[in-house]
Amino acid sequence: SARFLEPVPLMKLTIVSRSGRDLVAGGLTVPDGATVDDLKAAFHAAKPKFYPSRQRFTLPVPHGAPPKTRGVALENGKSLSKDLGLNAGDTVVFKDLGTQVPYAVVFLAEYAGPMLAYLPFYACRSEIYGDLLHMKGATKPMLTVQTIATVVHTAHYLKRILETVFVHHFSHATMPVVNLFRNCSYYWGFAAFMSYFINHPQYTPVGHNQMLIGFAVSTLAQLGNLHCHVYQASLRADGSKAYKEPKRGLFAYVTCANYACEIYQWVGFNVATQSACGWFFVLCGGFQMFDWANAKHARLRKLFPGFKRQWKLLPPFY
Amino acid sequence: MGVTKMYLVCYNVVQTLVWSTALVLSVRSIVENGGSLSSVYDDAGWFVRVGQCGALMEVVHAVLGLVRSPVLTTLMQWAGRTHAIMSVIHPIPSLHGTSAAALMFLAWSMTEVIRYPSYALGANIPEWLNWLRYSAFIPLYPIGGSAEIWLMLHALPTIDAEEPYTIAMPNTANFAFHYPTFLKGLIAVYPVLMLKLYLYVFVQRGKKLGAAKGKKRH
Repeated sequence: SARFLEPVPLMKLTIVSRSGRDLVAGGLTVPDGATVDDLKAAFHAAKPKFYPSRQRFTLPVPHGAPPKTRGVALENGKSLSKDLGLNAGDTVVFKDLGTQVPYAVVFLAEYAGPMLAYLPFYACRSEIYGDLLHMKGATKPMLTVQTIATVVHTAHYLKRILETVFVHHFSHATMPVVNLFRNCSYYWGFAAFMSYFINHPQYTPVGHNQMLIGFAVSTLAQLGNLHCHVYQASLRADGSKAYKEPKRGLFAYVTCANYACEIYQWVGFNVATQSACGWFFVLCGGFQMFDWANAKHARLRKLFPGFKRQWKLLPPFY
Repeated sequence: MGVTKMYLVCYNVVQTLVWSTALVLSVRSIVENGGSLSSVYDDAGWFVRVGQCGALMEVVHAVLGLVRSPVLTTLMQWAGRTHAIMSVIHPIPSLHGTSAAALMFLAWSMTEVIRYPSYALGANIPEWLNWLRYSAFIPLYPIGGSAEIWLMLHALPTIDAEEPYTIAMPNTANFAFHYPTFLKGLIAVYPVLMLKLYLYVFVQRGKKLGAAKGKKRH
């Protein structure tokens, strides 16, 4: 029999905004077995402005739920009817996530910037501090610590760029564009300021041994961070975007071993170069990573019952 | 009522008293001087400084999670105003008698005399006060903000000459700060920051006043 001529059972869903406004007149029709992705494609066809990555759908919040309860999110790949229990005539709530930018684009912009922003203060010292800012001593030769700092700083961001291209498997494809501007300001700004002070003609270096210890710790931590990232990428070698439990290496002891290495990387750099700006930078980054580490730990505890680690973020402190 | 809520109500009541006093003293100064603005800073200054410096507690409340306000925004708003009065105007006596200083005081105290009672009353806020809370800013922000910019601009010659709060290299922290340059940069970005804040409160206004209207209809 000509089964391919049988009509596909369809279901019509009502799409509303969070304030209850009907967004698609007459509802949106999708096949019975459709996934969330199909719903997003259909919505995109009905409303070309909202490409799939900026769409977010949730189930309506049940009546009588406490205020500020969030509706259950419709995740990509899930079946509307089988996984989410949606039937013809049901309502789903739409939220516009705003203009989206691919994760990789944001990472590349926010890492290439600081790598490049650091260099002029080292490479064009006499032009910037002498010709432009009229400071004394701008033509002095660079100190060893200043040269090593430039190499270490550049290597750090080069590593990050290469990781973005070759190593990382991101869990989300995109993020809101406002993050691009905010993150770039943060990274580019701090790199420029740190470089300005470290390469300054009146820069005061620390003792030789302190410098060596600082850079040694920094380099070791960078390698540790790379090792963490490679291991984390291996957890998603199968191509899935799901969260896996990191168990090996430093992850056996620290939930966010990669953040720990990152923080010690900068601590080492600052011990070697000693600038207030550099210490402020690691403090700011540390605060952000503190928030992320708590969220990550909570998420892993939820996904993997019995998940426990000696530290969340930074041995031996937290 | 929990201890936290009681404390916050007390804080908001105290600030209401401080800023009401500042407003009353400002108005009284103008009336007693036949409409002249030149004594407003001297007459109300102590209360404005106490109120504004005391408002640091709002940053602490945000950090401790006692209120839902975002820490960075609260900090920036507090720092902007406190910088204007403590770092720019107060140290420069020639700015005290200016109309800008008086207008700034009036704008600030009128805003606060609406804001703090709103917080103290919380969900029990009467509709007229809620309307004021989300409407008074429309003229008051530009007036206050323009006054702040005018005062910073007119403080520049003194600050250029005296270079306060300035740290020079070399030093062991390898840090330098040139306050006159910082102030010029701040003046340059002030209009942008103010516009952002202004538009943000407009959006809030749409949500809060629109919702109130909606509730009435049902």
